[in-house]
Amino acid sequence: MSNVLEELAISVLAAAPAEGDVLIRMKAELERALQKPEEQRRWVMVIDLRKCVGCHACTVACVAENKLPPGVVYRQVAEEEIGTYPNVSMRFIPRPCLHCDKPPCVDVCPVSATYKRPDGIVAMDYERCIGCRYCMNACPYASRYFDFGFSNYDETPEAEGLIVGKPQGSLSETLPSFEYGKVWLRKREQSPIGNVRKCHFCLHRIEVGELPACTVTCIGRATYFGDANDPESLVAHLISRPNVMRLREELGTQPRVYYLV
Amino acid sequence: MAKNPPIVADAPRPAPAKKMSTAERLLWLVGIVAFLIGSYGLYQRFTNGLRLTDLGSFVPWGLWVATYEYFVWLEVGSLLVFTVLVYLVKWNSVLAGMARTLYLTAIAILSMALILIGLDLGHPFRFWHVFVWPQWGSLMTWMIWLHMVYLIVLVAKLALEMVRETPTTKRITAWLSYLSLPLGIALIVVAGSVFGVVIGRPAWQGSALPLYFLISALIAGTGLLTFQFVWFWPGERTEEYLAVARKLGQLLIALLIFGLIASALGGLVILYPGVPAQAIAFELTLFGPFWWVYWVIYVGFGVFVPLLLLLTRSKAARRIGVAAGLLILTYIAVPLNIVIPPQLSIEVVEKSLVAAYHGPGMKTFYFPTISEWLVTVFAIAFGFLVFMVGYHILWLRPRINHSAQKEG
Repeated sequence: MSNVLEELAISVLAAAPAEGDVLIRMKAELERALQKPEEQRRWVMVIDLRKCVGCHACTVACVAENKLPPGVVYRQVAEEEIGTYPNVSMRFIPRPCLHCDKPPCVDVCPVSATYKRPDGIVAMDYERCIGCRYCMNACPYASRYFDFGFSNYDETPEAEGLIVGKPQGSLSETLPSFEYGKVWLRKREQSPIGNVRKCHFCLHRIEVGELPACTVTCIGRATYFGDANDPESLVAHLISRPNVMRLREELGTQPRVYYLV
Repeated sequence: MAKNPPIVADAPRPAPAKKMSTAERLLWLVGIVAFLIGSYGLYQRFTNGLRLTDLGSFVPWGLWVATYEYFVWLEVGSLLVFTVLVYLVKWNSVLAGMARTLYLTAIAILSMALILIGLDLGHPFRFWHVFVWPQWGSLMTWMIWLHMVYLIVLVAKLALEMVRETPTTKRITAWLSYLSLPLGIALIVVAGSVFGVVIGRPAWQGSALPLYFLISALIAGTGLLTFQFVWFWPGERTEEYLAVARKLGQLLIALLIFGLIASALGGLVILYPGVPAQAIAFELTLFGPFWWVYWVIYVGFGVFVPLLLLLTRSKAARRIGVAAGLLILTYIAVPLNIVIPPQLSIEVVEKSLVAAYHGPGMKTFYFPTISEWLVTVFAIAFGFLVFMVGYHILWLRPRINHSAQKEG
């Protein structure tokens, strides 16, 4: 047990050298990447599975950042139990959209509402999406979710004066989401309700020089984000290691989310 | 090129009756009541979006998509078989008289299909986006465009059938029929390929589904053509009529057996290696909670009972008509089993992912809700009323080929 902790500590120190918290370094690299034209950036995410403790902070941060309704999640953390008692271990695998370089979801969209940006992010045009859900069936990673328009307060009683009552509690759902740099208010049957939704690497944050919400909230600093086209970037170093893998590589979809194992 | 079929005459239209027959009145009543009941589902659909459905992010397609596929099979399949028999192999001129009623039926079924697939969209009023911003790399784009072109050809053919028949209208109808052959085959194959190209659902992926869609369309279409010919033929039940009905019955036997073999082969090839991502869909179909959809509805009432009726030595065309009717009613089990179980396999393939987060619409089980059934009833009632208006008010009835009748 102590050996494992030692190894983990070494790996944390390796990723966070003299300059301090990796977040500071990644933010500086992000700002450097933003100086380049969009097509010269190659955003990638690296997730160190050895550091993920399954706290789900990233999931919650993502829900809060993007004001996600019930039934929509961009970054859940899958939990796998390996082995049988007494030789049991847990593995946590954060599962955002993998932003494939050959995305099967993009090819099937009948109206080009989902598309690959020059910087590699697979984005959605909510106002063009017709809600056919073909992309959801096409995605081999189940990374897309349909916004049915559910509310957290659907079953909440109309109790006056109580913070948990529907009138007060549901005020939180009137806050807009800023996905794709636009203001999205939850109004009846208006986008993004009726649309397919997915992780976009917090594009609205990236464009103002901020790291994705999941990256900055990760308590174990297990999530890294940056421009892989920058040879000096942390992510470029990490994905050049031999212990890197991507999900279902045999499909040839070339995901941009790498896992360190 | 083969000669066009002979000009046929209208069935005599009776003097306007003061009262409808009891059967006709009952049919109108059933249609209107179903329409009204189904309208409540439509109201729910527009006031609640897709929230009242059992669809979710792991099983995004359900009853409406399956029913849409089935209606496409019926609509296109019946016309494919009709066109091949009448225009290409010149099988029998009596059958040519069915054209008007068959086109009317196809348009009625097409209206049902479009209502269902339209209401299945998250944003139904954005359907026009496919025409303004088509993405030609998507097979769904091709399917929608082909369906629209097919609709135009179909309406043109029906319009030509409604005007006085001349050699020119006959020639145009014939060319439109020839055109509808590759168009219809393309539509069916593309509809199957919409599923076949999806790597997210391993049980769909491959070239088997497009071919299986074509076989299924021919089976369902022959069933519809046979049903209409047996029950809607307005002329005398001559020997020639019986001969045509029997030949259609024989065609149905061959296609039903072929379809069953194709279905069994498709299943066995996937079950033998037993790769879970693919095999689980077939295991669910055969032995899952809805095993009876496959064994009782499809194999029992959709294949064996019709085969028994068709293989019985009897001169009565009624048996053939009943077999065809049974087939039309039960064959919906096939697209239901194609569309739904392969999506349920996600529970096995992505077990830890689907368990990671909970919320409405994140289920790995699907059974249509009352709201979904009501909308389906609405679509069927709408199509049925379209047919009733065409058949009883616009008098789009089969034409009798007098020469053929005399020959018979």
